[in-house]
Amino acid sequence: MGEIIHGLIVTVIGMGITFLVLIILSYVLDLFRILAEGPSKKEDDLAEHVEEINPIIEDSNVEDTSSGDDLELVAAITAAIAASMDTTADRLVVRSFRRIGTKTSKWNNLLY
Amino acid sequence: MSFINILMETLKDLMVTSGFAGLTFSHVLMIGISLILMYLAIEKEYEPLLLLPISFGMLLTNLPLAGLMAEPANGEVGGILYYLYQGVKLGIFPPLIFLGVGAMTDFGPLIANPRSILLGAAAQFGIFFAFLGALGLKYIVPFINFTGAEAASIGIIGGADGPTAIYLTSKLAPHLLGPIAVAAYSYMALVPIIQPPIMRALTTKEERMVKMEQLRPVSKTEKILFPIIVTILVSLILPSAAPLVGMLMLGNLFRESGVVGKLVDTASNALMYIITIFLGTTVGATASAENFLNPKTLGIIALGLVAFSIGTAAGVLFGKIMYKTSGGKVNPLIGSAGVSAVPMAARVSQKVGKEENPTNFLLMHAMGPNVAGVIGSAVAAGVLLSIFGS
Repeated sequence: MGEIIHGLIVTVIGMGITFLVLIILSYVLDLFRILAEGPSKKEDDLAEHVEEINPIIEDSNVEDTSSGDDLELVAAITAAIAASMDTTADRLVVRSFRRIGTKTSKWNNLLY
Repeated sequence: MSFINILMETLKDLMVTSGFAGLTFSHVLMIGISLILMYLAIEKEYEPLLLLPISFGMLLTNLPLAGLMAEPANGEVGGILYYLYQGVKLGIFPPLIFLGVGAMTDFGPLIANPRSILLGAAAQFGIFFAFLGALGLKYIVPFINFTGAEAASIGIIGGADGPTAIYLTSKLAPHLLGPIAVAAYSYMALVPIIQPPIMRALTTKEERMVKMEQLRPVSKTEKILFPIIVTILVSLILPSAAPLVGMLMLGNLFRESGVVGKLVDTASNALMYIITIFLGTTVGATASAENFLNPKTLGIIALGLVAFSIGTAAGVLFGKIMYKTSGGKVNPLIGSAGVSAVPMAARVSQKVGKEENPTNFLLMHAMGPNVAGVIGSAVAAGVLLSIFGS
């Protein structure tokens, strides 16, 4: 039984130290976040411009876009495509668009 | 003496020096086990990178009179595997593997979500549960009696981290290296089978459906600072974990610095695979009949499964606590990834999450606890080493 008690003490110490180390690490990383706060905001702004767009380059019925925010985004995207394709915005309809998430991160290419 | 007599005499001598003369039943049994493991590695692809060399090492060491693991004696040199084994015995190979692992690991998800690190700590409970189980086993099965050092080596299977398990076992209970390595790598290969039922049993449908917020982007500076800070922090708190964590972080610094591409390539490819061959073969070669055909092996295999299961459960339960405290923002399924087994355990979280909600994407969120689990199990190994070492 003495062994089991010793084992329990080892368990408490072991889990305690494991948690201690990782909790400290976790808080140190919070400092990282504070350090990175400035630059990370800038990156957020940039991310908004990198939308994936599915343009339909033909005259067709305009689909209803629900919220006002989306309409603004659609206008911006239409204008951007129109500019890059050397055409006018009224000849383009943005049917759908979605934000690119982390799905396309380079992690997917990691093999091990 | 006639010609026939001389011929018979010579043939007899040859027979005595051949392996057949020394072949015993236990050798045959061990060769059979090594063949089964080879089958699992080749046909079922159970961690073939390690299980194949391990099983072949096992075969080599159980061929009588070949002496591949023989120590040098009477002025004769030892067997080739004996010399290669020194890299395991002296604790050189596992940290070198960690160098390669570090060079391949992206700690970004962990830096982006620091709280997820705690899941990597919680899942280490499997180690200590199995450790206690190994100590208490003799009260249930009287003929299996593990010492504290042996129990610690068995528990570390729950860390789901091959190099860590081999490192600790080579220091604490080298005679158990064979069964522990086989159990650790087999269960790691079985993570996609072992974990999902436990994860489903402990979570509600609502919890499994939780979609987590997208992780913030992590800057290069943060990624460079991370390995340096972790090394200093962990090594100061727990010097015995420094060889593993230090090399892991060195490899990661190579990667994130972006200035030593060739070193990253060497550490994560050529060097790692060379070491894998040496490590696997020689660890397998420690599985001699007398070491392996022992009731203890059965105990190790059973306790290894307990360690994996409890580790998974502890991670998921801690994930549930985080789900509650975060107001439903954390999906408890990422908790099971805390056992390490990178990146398999994270993929399991992703898969189980996706079954419940096809639009859910948990992989990157699970990578945080997953890589934290590597650090966590190295720390736990460090604790066990400093308590039971020497």
